[in-house]
Amino acid sequence: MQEIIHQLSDQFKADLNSSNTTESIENLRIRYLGKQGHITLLSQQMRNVPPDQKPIIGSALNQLRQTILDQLQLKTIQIQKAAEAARYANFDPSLPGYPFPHGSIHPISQLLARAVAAFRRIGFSLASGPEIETEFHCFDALNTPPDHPARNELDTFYLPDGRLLRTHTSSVQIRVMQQNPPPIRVIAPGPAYRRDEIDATHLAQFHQLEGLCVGPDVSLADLKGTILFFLREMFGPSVQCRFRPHYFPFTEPSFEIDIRSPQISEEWMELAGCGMVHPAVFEAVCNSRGDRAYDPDTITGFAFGFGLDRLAMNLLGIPDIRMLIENDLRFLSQFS
Amino acid sequence: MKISTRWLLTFLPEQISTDNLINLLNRAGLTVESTSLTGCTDPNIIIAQILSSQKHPNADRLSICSVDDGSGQNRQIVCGASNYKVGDKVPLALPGATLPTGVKIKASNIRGVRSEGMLCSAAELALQDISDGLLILPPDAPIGSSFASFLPPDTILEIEVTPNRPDCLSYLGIARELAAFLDTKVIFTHPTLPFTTPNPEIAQIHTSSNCSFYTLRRIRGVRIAPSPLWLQRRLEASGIRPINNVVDVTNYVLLELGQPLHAFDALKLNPPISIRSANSSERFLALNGCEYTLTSSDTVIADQSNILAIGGVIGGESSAISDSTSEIWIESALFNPSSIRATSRRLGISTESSYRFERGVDPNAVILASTRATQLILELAGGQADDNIIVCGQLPNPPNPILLHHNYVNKLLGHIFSDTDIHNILSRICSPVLSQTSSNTSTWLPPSWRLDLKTQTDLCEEICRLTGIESIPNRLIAHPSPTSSNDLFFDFTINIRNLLASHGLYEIKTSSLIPQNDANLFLSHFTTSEPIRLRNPLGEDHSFLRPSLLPGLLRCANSNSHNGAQSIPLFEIGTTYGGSPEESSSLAILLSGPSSTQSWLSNNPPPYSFFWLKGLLNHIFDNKIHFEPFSSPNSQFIVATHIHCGNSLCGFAGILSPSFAEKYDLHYEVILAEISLDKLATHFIHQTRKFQPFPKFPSVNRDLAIVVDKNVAFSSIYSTIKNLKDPLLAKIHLFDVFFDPSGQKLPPNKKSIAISLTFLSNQRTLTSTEVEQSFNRIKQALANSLQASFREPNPNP
Repeated sequence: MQEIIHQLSDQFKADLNSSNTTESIENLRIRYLGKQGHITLLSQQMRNVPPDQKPIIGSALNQLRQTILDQLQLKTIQIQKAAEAARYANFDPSLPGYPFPHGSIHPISQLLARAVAAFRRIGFSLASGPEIETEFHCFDALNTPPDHPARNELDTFYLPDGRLLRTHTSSVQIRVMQQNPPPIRVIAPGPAYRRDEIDATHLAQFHQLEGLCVGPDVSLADLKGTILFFLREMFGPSVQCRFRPHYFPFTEPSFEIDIRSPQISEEWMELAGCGMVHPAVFEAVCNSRGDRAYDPDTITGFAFGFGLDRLAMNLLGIPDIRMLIENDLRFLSQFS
Repeated sequence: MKISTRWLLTFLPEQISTDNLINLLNRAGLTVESTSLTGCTDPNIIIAQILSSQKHPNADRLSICSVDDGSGQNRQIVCGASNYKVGDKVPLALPGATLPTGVKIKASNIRGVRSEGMLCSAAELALQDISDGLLILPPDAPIGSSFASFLPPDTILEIEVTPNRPDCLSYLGIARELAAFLDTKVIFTHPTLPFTTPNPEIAQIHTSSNCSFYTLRRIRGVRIAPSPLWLQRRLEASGIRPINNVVDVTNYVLLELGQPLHAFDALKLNPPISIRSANSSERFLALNGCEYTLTSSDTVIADQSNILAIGGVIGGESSAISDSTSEIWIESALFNPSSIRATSRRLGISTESSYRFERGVDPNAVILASTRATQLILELAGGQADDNIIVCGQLPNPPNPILLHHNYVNKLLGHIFSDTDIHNILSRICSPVLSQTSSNTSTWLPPSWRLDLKTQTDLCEEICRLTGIESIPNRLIAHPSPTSSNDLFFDFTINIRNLLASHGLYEIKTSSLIPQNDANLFLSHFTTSEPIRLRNPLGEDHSFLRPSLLPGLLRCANSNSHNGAQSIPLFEIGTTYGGSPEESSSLAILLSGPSSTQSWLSNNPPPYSFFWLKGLLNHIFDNKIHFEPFSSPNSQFIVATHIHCGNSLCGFAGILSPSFAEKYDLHYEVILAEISLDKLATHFIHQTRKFQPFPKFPSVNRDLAIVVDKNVAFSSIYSTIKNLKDPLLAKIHLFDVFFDPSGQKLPPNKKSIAISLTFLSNQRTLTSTEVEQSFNRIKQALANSLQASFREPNPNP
């Protein structure tokens, strides 16, 4: 009996060696362990074994059964692994990936989102106003006299009803102060219009980011600190900025802001206008509100306006402002 | 304004480098926009005299000159100019010289004749942009000495003078500004002013609101001639063309003091001279050769018979200074800025004079300038001036003193200035009224030329400018500010942008101003009102405010198609105009072409389709929108649907008719949509979500293939099932739509819609009987209301 078990063990080893597919392994299992299998048949003969040999024979038989089971499982795993490996043998991970479409957000929108995030960090919230404006909001309340050159038909787009397309987002300053008492801390992005012939640096419709901060204790020092914070957020800590005295009817003192940065340009570049809100603007707001909430003797404020198109040109190295409205996909896809 | 630094520096007691000057001007708010060099520095460019000239034997246009270069030996030069005569002194570039243009001069043979250098024009020496012929120098130019020592090089600055600072439209004004920054005094010798007398027989003002003060001074016996070179150079450097000594002096004084002057030929006019409003449709021939038709709002200077000038704007042909003029009147006056501005704009004339008058001139400079001009004319043109200046009208009152609260300075500027600081700084600009000065306030009298200084805020600006903004600290205080509705809307649009871009769409920005054809293109889809036309567009292509974003998208798709793009997925978020409300924020999408790039993984990417768009919008808007077909009144669309959100109509989506798309060079199907974000936003902003527990019991799926007439919409099937309100029905999923034009599997007029129905209960595991009941009820309803029949579902959808 033990002899048979030995032979069977050797025979299994030989069979296993010659079986290299999952089917042949399954056949092997049936041949040895199935209902009519060698091991099953041998087990049935156990009753003919003398009692004193039963433990030895039985244990040898069980051992063989276990070995066969283990070997079959092992071989099955080996075959599966080999098959998997064969399947991936020539896998080429250097092939390009799935061609996901590349959309993009317009550079101006991307920039605006960054600018808004920067101002939100220091407690500005968003405001808005109409693009079709009254002369009051765009000029009169902003201390711009009726015969000011900016108001003529050569420079400003008018509607047949006498209203106009706002020439700056500063009109939102008036709307915000009419509707809310101080303190004010808002930014207002949006388009503005000037009757300029379009060229490499001018668009008739351009994008501005207006800011207004008004309160009982707002000074030029706050304006400087705010602008510097914003410029560093946008252009990095190495940005240099200079406030060049300038003139706007609605601020005094007024400045233009130039920046210079090793990453962008060695030349000073004009980026924005700003200043302390002119007392005449506060007076106009008081008159239209019918109260003294914005009494210039107690209230001060600063305002600024950034040209987003110019900001985009500087930050992204765009040589011609018209590229921003030509919407060539070869341009847009560079900013995805 | 163009200024010569060389001239400017004559007004200052110290020499300043050009870089320092530019820096100071920028700090003063006189922004330097550009700089350029005139003249030359090379010592090899010298002064020579032409001794003889003869024709070049081999060239018609050339001549051979013999010149005296001061060396004692004559030098032969071949020359192409013809404006000289023998004896003239001219600039000569010797071999080895480098011209300002970079050209190097060598001795050479020109058509067989030796030429040892080059005679130069003004343009070649960077003195003029273009010039005709050689620069002829005055007879006293020293032969052989370097040209640079005779006419030194100069740096010309182009500076921007802001409208509030007309006092800086003159050399003296700019110098005063620089002197204030340098804490020094300008160099300017005031001439002694003559007596003034009214004389109505000579001049009378009839329109005092437009001209408050008018003066004339007579000079007899002048000799009209070209101005000396130094004066011509100063005018040219400042951008004014020299004409003759008298006219040049008026321009010189205008540049020097900022007061416009005019010279009349006294013998060509017939006093008394009246300053009056023009009669309507009076005509006037101006010095520029143009004839103007005037109105009563224009101010004219007229004698008994003629209009002599448009006051403060331009002189006339009839009384102009000519070579034969011997007696002149010098006019110096004060005109009302807004009247000059109106006339100048209406007639389209902007002169050095009108430019200054419309911004405002120094009242105290009127007589000063007249006196200064007289002084120069006597010097350069000879003659004898009348002792008195004839005046009419009144000079305005001097400016009021300004009370300055020092607390206000510190509050506005955010920096503490001491009383002494304030005194020291402002004294450089204004005169202190010491009797009205205390510890916390001071009173200041602005100079007559500073028309912009009226309030204490104006003085704060001066303090800030003169100390330099660097001295103001940077302070940053962040205050909390609550989220506004604008913040919410901004974030809503940013989300949409992100989602669309991440699905492969490109955001574009097109102009709000569009042509009329575009404005009317899709009108009936979006608004019932007329699109808004501008009163003064820049051109017909930009004459209307867009009622829709779609025309802009189509033009953009068109240009990209021209540039070779196949796949064109675009969107724009922007304002549309003319509806109700008048301005609304819209989203528009245009899709055309393959929906992704062809690659080894996807050989034939499907083109964008209506259902791609619909799926995208449903995804972005969280299935809160639905599409309802309507018959488009516009033939541009082959398929048109309205987009609803809740009960409100908020947009439109459709397929462009292929023939219309062809006009835009678009050969794939073009899908368009436009949605009002204002209307949609209310459904998305402030939305909160609640957690839904997972189903506790298993669901049962049953498939159903419904055969209906081809024209039955899926929405009818869907709503028929939905209307049963079966509590067990959890989901309807469409998985196949099948037509069979051959009629083998399905009659050609029918279609098969295969759906999968999911049944589910939250209370119990469903029995097959329950499911069967619901399933049959659904089939029954479909059969009844849509005459549907049923077939075995496609086993392999």
